[in-house]
Amino acid sequence: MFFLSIFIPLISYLFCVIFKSYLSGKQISLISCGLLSIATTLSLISFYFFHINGDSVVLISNWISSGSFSVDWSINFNLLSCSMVLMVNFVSTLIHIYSVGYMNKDPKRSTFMGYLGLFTFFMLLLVSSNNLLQLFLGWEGVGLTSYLLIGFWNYKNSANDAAIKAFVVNRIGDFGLLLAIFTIFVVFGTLNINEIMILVNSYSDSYFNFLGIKIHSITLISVLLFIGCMGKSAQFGLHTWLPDAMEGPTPVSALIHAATMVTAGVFLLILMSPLIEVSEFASKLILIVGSLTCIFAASVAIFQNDIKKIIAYSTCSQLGYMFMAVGASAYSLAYFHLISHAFFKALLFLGAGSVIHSMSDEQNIKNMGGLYNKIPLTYLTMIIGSLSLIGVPFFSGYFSKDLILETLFLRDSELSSYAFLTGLLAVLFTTLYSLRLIIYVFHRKSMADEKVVAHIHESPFIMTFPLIVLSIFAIFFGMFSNSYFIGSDYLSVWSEIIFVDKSFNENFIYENMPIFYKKLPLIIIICGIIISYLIYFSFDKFLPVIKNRLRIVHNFFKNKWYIDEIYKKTFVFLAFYLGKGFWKSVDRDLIDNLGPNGMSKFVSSIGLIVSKMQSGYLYHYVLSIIIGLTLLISLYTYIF
Amino acid sequence: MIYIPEVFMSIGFLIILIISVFVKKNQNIVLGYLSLLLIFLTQFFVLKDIFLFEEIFNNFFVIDSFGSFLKSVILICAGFVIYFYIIVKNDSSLNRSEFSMIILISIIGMMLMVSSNDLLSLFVSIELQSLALYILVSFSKEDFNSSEAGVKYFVIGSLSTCIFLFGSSLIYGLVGSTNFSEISQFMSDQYSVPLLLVVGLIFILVSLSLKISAAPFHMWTPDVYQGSPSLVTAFLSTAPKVAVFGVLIRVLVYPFGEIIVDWGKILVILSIFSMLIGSLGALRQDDLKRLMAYSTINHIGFILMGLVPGSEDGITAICIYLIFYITMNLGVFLFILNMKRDQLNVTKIKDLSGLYKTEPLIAGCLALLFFSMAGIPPLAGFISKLLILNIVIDNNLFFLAIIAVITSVISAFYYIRLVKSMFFDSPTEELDLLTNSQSKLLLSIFGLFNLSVIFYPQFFLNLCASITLSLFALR
Repeated sequence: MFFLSIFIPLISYLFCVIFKSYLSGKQISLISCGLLSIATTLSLISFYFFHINGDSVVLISNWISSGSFSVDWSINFNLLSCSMVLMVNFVSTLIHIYSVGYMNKDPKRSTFMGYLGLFTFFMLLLVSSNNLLQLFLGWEGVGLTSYLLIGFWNYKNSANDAAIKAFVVNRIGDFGLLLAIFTIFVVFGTLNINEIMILVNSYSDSYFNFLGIKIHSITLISVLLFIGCMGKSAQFGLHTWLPDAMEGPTPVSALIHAATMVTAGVFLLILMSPLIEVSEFASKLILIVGSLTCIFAASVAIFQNDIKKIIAYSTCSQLGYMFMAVGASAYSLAYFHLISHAFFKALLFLGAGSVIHSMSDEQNIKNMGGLYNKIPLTYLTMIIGSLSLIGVPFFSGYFSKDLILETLFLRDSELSSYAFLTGLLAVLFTTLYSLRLIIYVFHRKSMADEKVVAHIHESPFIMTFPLIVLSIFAIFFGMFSNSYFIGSDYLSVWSEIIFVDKSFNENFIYENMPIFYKKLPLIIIICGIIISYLIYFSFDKFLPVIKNRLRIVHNFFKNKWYIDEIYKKTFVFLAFYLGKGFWKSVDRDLIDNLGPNGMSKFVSSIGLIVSKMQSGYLYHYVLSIIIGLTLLISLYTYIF
Repeated sequence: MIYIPEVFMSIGFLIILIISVFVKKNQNIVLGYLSLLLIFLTQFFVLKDIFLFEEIFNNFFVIDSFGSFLKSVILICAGFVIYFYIIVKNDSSLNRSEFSMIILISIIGMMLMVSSNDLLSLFVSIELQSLALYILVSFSKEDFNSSEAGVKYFVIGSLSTCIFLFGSSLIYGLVGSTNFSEISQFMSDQYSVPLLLVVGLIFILVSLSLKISAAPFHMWTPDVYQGSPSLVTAFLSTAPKVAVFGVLIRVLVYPFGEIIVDWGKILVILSIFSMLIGSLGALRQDDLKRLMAYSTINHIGFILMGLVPGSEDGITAICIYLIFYITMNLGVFLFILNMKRDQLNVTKIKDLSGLYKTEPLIAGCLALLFFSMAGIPPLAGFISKLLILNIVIDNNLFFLAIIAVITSVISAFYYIRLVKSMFFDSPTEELDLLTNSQSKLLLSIFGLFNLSVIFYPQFFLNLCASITLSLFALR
C-alpha cells in the first residue's frame, strides 16, 4: 500500500504524457487529481496503521552490484518516511486540484499536470529511499522537474533564465552532495542509510586522508552534506535561485518552492542526524548559516514589491529557522516546523495565486489595494496564513517556531544565544513584511487601473477549496500535533530513526523557560503590528521621505544585499569570459583549425600532391623505381 | 604425372586452342565455357591433393598445401573473371577467341609460381604469367589508353625482370645454388650473413613489390588499371596479387627465414609507404578504376604488415585477407563492368550518383562492398583488418598499427564518399538499368558473403591455419 502510494504519481505522469493527445485537458487534469487523491488516501491508511507494521524496508530489486558496492531499489518504511510521504501526497493533491482551476486556459495543461505528478514521484522517492544513491536519484529528479516547471512558460525569456539559474545553482549543491556520498562510501563502505547509522559511532574517530591533509571524516561528510542541502534549501549563498524561480506558475511555487523540494535539504539533514550529531563543527556551521539566512531573507522580504518574491524570501527565512533547529540538535522540531511550514506556506502561495488570478496576472503589490471586500475568501485565508507564518499564538506556526526559539534559548552556548536573538529579530521582520503584504494588497486604496478593477472576481471553488483545507491545517495542525514532536512518549519513537535529545521534552521546556523569554516573541509580534500600523496608516505620508533619506540602506535591502550583482561580477562574468575565450580561441581557432578542419585540409592537400606525382610519363615511373630501389639498399646498408 | 594440375591445365589449354580454330568468330562464348570447365577440373585436381607434400623435378617445384591452396584461390579468381567475360556483354575489342586462352596461360604461370622451389623456375614462371598479362592489358587494340597501359606495364615489367635477375645472380654468386632448400641450408650454416646476399634479396623484394604494386613501386598501377579493359583490371587486381604474395611468403619465410630481422624492416617501409600512398592518393580521384588502383595499393600495404613478423599467425591472416579482398574487388569490378550509359562504358565516380534511386539492390550491395573495404564492422573487411592488426600489435609494432589505423580512417573517407554519392546525391544523368540478372545475382552474393562472414569466421581461420602449417611444419 505504501509502495503504491509512492508509484501512483508516476503512473499519473505516464498517463498524462501518453494520453495527452487523445483526451482533453480537463479530462486529463481530473484523472490525475483522482490518482493523486488515491495516493493520498493510501498513504493516509498506511500512516494510520503504521504501528501494526512497524519499521521495515521494502526491497524492490537489486540496482547496482559491483564488487563490494551494492545498491538496491528499496523503500524505507518508518515514521519519518511515512509521515513525509503523507504530507507530500496531501499537499500535492491539493495543488493538483488548485491547478485545475489555475491552469484552466493554458494550452499545455496536460503536460503541466504530468510534470506535477513526476515531481511528486521523485520527491516521494527521495523521502522514502533507503540508500543515498536512490535518494540522490530523487534529489536530481526533483531538480529536473523543478527546472521543467520553472521554465514551463518557456515563451518568456525570464522564465528560461530563471530555470537555468535554478538548475545551475542547484548543481553546485548537488556536487557537494555527490562528494558527500563518495566520502560516505569511502569511509563506511556502504550507502545504506540504516547501516551507516549503525556504523556512525564506531567511525567517530576516523580520519580521512585527502592530499596529505587529515580531516575528521564525519565532519567532512557532514559539511559536504550541508553544502548539498544549502543548494536545495536555498540557504545563504546558494539562495539566489529561489526568488527567481517565482517565474514558474504559482502552483509550482506552492508545491516545489514552499512545501516540498526546498525542504528536501532539511529532510536530508534530519535523516542523517546521527551523523551530524557527531561533528560539533558541522552543527555550528549549520546554526550560523541558518540564522544568517533567516535574518537576511526576512530583511530583504520587507523591501520587495512582487507578491510572490516576498513569499519566496519568507520561505527562505523559514528554512533558516529549520536549519537553526538542526544546528541546535532539535531535529524533531525542525521536522515539525517543516511540516507546519508546508501547510501555511502552500496556503500563502495559493492565496497569492488567487490574488494574481483575480488581478489579471498583476504581481506588483504597489498596483493592488482594497481587495478585502472583493475577494473575501482569499483575504481570509491569506490572513490565516500570515498569522500562522508570523507565529501568532495558537496558529500552527506559533507552536513550531516558538519551540525552536525556546530550544535555542535553553541551549547554553554563546552561539545559540546569538541565534536566539537573530531569530527574535527575524520574527519582527516577519511580522513587518507579512503585514506590509496584507496592507498593500487588501487594505490601501486601490492602485489598479479600472479595467483590472472591473474584472476582479473571487476565484472558482476548485481554487478556493484547497485554500480552505490548507487554512484548517494552518490553524489546527500545530495545536493537535505538537506533542508528537516534543512529548516524551513520542521522542522515544523518533529516537529509533533520528537523533533525539530526550532531555528536551515538553516538561523540561515548561519548567526551565523564564516567563519573560517565553512571551518575548509574542511581545515582538505585537510591537511589529504596532510599527506596521504606524508606518502604513498613521505616517504613510512620510514613507517616501524616509526612503529618500535612507536611500543607501533602502537600496541595499531592495537589491537583496547586492548578492546577485556580486555573483554576476565575479563568477558569472568569469565563467562567461572564460567560456567565450575557450570557445573562440581554443575550440574554434585552435582545435577546429588544427583538428578536424585543419587535419582534413592537410590530408586533402597531401592527396593532391600524391595524385600530381602521377605524371603519366614512363621515365618518371622508372626513375621512381630506381630511386626506391637505391633508397632501400642504402637504408639497409647504412642505417639498419 | 598427368594429375599434377599444371600439366593437366597445359594439356587442356592446348586442346582448347585446337578447338578454337574450328569455332566461328561470333561464338567465342563457347571457348569461355570450355575454359571454365577446364578451370573446374583443374580445381578438382588441386583440391584432391591439397594435403600432399612432394618435391618434384629435382626439387625445382614443390607441391604442398600452401601452394595448392593458393592455386585454388587463383583458379577461383580466374573462374570468376572468365564467368564475367561470359555473362557481361563485352566490347568488340574483347570479343576475340584469344582472351580466355591468354588468361589460361597466365594462370598456368601463376600456378607454377606458387609452387616454385628454385629461383630459376620462379623466374620462368613469373615471366610466363607476366607476358600473358602484358597482352591482356593492351588487349583492346583500338583503345589508345589500353595500348599506352600495355606499353607502360611492359616496360615496368621488364625492369622488374631485370631487377629480379640481378638479385638472383647475386644470391647465386654467394650461395652457389639457386635452389631454395640449398639457400636455406647455406643460411643456417653461416654465422653472419654476407651483406651482398641481403642486397640480392632486396633486389628480389623490389621486383616482387613491383608486381604487387607496393609503394614506392606503385607508379604504374593507376595508369595501367585505368587504361586496361575493366575485365582485365578485375583479373589484374586479384589473381596475380595472390600469386605474387604466395611467392613472397615462400621466398621470405623459407630460404631467407633466418634473416627475418633484415627483410622485416624493408617490409615495414614498404607497407607504410603503400598504406599512405594508397589512402592519400585516392582522395582526389574522380575515376572509379583509378580509385580502385589506390585502394589496392592501400590493401597491399595492409597485407604486407602481416608478413612483417614472419609468423604462422601472420600468414594465416594474410591468406584470410586475400580471400576477402578478392571477393570485395571482384564484386566492385563486376559492377564497373556493368556501368554503362547509352551502351558505352563509363567509370567516373560522379556517374554513381543517385544509383540508389534507380537500382536500390545494386546500390545496397555495392555499399556493403565499399564498407567492407573500409573495414567497417561487422563486414568481412573488418575481420581481416582486425586479424592483421592483432598480429601487428602482438609483435609490439605499435607505430605500424597506428599508421595502419590512421590510413584506414583516411581511406574510409573515400569509400564512404562513394556510398554517399550513390545514396544521397541527385543523379546528373542516369546509368543504363542493369538488365543482366546473373550479374545482379552474383553481386548480391558478393555483398551477402561480406555481410555474413561474421557468423562463420572460424571456418576461414581454421582453413588458413591448417594451410599455413604446411609451410612451417613439413620442413
